[in-house]
Amino acid sequence: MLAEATALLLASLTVVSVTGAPAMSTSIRPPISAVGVSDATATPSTSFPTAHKPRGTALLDRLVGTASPRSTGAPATTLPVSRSTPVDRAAHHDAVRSMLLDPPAPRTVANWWGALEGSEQLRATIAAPELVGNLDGVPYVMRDQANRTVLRETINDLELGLDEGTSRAMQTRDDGQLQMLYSIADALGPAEANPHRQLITLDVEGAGKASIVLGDLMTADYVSYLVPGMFISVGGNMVEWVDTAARIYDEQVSWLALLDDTPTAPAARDGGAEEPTVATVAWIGYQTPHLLNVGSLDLAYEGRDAIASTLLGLDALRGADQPHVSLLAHSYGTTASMLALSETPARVDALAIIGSPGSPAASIDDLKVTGAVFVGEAAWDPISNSAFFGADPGETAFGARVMSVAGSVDLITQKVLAGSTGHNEYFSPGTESMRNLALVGIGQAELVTDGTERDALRTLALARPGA
Amino acid sequence: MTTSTSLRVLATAAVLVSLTGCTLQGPSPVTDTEARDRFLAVIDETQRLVGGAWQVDDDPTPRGCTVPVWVTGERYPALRVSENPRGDGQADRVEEAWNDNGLDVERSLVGDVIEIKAESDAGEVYLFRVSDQAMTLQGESECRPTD
Repeated sequence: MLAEATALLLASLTVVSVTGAPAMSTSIRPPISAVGVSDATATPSTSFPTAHKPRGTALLDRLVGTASPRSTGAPATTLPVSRSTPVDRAAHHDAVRSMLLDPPAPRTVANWWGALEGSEQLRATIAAPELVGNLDGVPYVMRDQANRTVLRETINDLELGLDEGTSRAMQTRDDGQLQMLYSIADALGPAEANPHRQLITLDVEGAGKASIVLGDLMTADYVSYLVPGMFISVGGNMVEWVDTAARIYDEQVSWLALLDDTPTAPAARDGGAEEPTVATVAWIGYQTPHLLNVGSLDLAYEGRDAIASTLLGLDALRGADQPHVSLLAHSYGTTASMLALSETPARVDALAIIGSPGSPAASIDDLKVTGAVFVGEAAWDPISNSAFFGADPGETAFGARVMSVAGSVDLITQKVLAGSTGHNEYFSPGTESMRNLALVGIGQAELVTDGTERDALRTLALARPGA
Repeated sequence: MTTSTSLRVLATAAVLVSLTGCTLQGPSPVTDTEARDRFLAVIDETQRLVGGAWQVDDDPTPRGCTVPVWVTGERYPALRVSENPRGDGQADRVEEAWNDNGLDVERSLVGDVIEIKAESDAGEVYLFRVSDQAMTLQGESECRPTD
């Protein structure tokens, strides 16, 4: 059974070796094939190449047609499944990583996965959890299961290796990796965490990548992705990033209950009687920059591809039941987000950009955002207004709506909200910035304060049907 | 100065500027469990005071915090929702009860929503909101240093 599933996956991986690994770290990389697949609902920007042949089609043919013994009748043993030696295992590992660097289109993955029988899906998850856990288009419950397996086994292996004793250099490296993985485990919380948390992205190597969702991405009416910027790492900030997602989740649940009958809620639009639900994602799906490489756009392109794949994966899985989707992006993550929304078919319903070092898009007209785009800039934040990577989103000409983060007297609440000062204070609890980010995520653009006298006119009536 | 160097300087400045605003509040002289129980007791008592049917969505997962400076800590959240609001009197009773408990209480109006926010000397935060549609009760316990 395992051999069959491994065969299925390894056969798919051979496509990578045929087509070759993608070029990396170029200053201007082409959009990934994952987002290059034809999308009838998308309007490609002028800079987006449309002639790109999606490799996912070949992958799908290979997986469902040739590779699957179910459809071909070919015995699994005819496929290169051996992982019995260290060399085989290393080759498998390398093939998986190559695949994840340039994955098939999420819709292709979703179709492929949906065509598998339940037992095949389970076997695939067991045979190649690193792959299944990170492929956009695979249902999140399976990704969570696969990633938790990898996390648990990697921690066990590292702890065992440290106990057995290795060189000092190896111990230092392994201990650093172990601390990073412990932080992910901590961020997942206990089994009874409320809301339930799922580990939907996991890269255990290097600085690592991880994404944890609070809530259910398959059913939530509102989905908010928190996109980080420079200095935010899995090892150093995963717990803090999930805490931020949890606080935004709480605020959104509270305000949705108080507002009731929210007109923008997909459930309300569909005439459903159920209470609207939310999901917030603490997303560290790309390598964020540090002081030594923040001047380059290379990592922003990596972020662009990962964000686009993430959004298209959600779109593929939700089908006709699309949620209200927002990106709440910070710092360098705003640049990566705007690259994704201007150079790929990915789209969102709302975008909040705070502390941005600049936009590759000239204005909001170049961004695939169906709703409002907000920009927030804190006092004493030297990154905002720098326009280092293009247009300054805070400029009037860019067209974004101002989101106040100053914490002055809130004319809606008639109280003083805490202000955000400096580049990393936007997500502090109790701040005007946090409240506004939560409101953006539930489609309440009219209630977002901008620090002007117009705030006095904002009331909850604006959020009600017929207002 | 190159553009890359310029951004690095900006980034360094951002780090320095962000290293502000730390609380100087130390932990109260109780055990971690007692601190959490004390917080939840106020939440539970407020819920009973207001009455009605409540959905308890407390997350047992602790959240990170800092106490007092550079010391990593954690605190526990609470989230309760009731769809049976009973009018302005509920907000009055909550405000009075929290004042009697020695909390620092602020009352404000958020559009049609009455919001009562309170903070204890130990740094516990409580938030009660009521609208025509629902009542919500949130908060976070005292920030306690982790082992």
